[in-house]
Amino acid sequence: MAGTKFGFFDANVRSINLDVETPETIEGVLHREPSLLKCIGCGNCAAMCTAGHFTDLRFYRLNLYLKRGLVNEIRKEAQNCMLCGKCQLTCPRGVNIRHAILLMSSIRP
Amino acid sequence: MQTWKDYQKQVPDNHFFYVRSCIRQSFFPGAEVAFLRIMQEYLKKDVFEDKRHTTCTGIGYHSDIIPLETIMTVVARQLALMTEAGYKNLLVSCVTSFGIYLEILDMWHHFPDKLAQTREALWRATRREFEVPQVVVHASDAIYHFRDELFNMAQYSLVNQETGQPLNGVEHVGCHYAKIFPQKGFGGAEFPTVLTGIIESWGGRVVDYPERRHCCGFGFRHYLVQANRGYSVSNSKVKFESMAPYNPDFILTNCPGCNMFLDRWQYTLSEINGVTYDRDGRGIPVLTFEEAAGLVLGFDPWVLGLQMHQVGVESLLDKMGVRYSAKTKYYLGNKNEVKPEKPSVLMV
Repeated sequence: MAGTKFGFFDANVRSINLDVETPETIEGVLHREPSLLKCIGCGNCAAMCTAGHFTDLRFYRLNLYLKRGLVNEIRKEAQNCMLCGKCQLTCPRGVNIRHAILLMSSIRP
Repeated sequence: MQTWKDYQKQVPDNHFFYVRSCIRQSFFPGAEVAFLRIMQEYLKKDVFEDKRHTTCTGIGYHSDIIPLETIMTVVARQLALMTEAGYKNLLVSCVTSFGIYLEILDMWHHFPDKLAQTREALWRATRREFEVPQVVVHASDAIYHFRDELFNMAQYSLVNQETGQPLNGVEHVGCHYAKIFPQKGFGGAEFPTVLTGIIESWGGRVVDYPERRHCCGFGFRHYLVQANRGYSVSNSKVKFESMAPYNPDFILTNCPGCNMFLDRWQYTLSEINGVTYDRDGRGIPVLTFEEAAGLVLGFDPWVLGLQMHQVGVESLLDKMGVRYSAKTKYYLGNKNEVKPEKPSVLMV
């Protein structure tokens, strides 16, 4: 009988085939906004984000999604951005976040 | 350019000071006894064990509970016991400890002031002195080194007695065996041969599966807190799902944590999801290198402690043609037999 509770659970195995997950789209974004490669995932952008208080938007996570080829998640979350630019003020690495968000929003399936 | 074949190490032929693993005593209590018996009785090697040696505190160290200075002093005390006994070759049972000894020796090499501090701390605490070992050998290195001699004494091989075909073995080498110091392991980090060499020399066939080098899920922080154990079990699941299509007959490991989790998590995953990773619903038997050696040499599987495994090993014993008594599996001398509760999914 399955379904025994142990106080923890297993995660589904995620394997992302980058040959299938449109690498040219990802590479295109990184090529047009190379400052994304400087992101250290510190989370300052998310802490500062007004839209993030009301939606799931976390920019550092979008950057991770991009590198993992999770384009559906990117499209969904990037639409929540209001382009206020506060994240860019706080970014210690100088990532051009608004441009990156615009590029991410324009990713098509 | 250095290739993986250049990663070879020298294993001394004799005179070892043996240090045990703290967790294997509980989980696989027969493995270390079997190792000592193989080394001393079968190979006639001088292996000395000092009852006063302790845990290396590696699990506490990797969990940020034991400070660096403390673990250095504990390691220094083990080395002091070795020095007092007159040995220079350290033989380590556990892959975590193996990594700890190598890491600390490397640190002392690069920071001699740390070595001086440790000598002083040990002297103040215990009035002992120590020498740095000439060689640090993992117990699986020793079995690998003597694998052909052992096979000459073997009663069984890793061959399916019914079909005559080699048994399919998947190996999982502990991360701290060679991923920290590739030059200290046979084959380095990418292509360690320590277990594949053992399987192939004893008649088996090694299956190369995609997630072969993935962590088993031991990872210290992954399992210490119950709520985090999903990280550990998910790691193991990646490995099981990767190896299952190749229908392995057994998993061979050289690390206490890998051995325990690849064995125990098969039960856990079967209880959570109702799945097993073999065709018959019995799970994939998991062996340590000593247990594999013991089986090949003809040890009684229940004296080897194989009844302590969560996944039953009978399917493997039947394939190898090992003679065993199902009735004596849980026989404990004069004491009453205590049989474990049956899992609801995994067949035993």
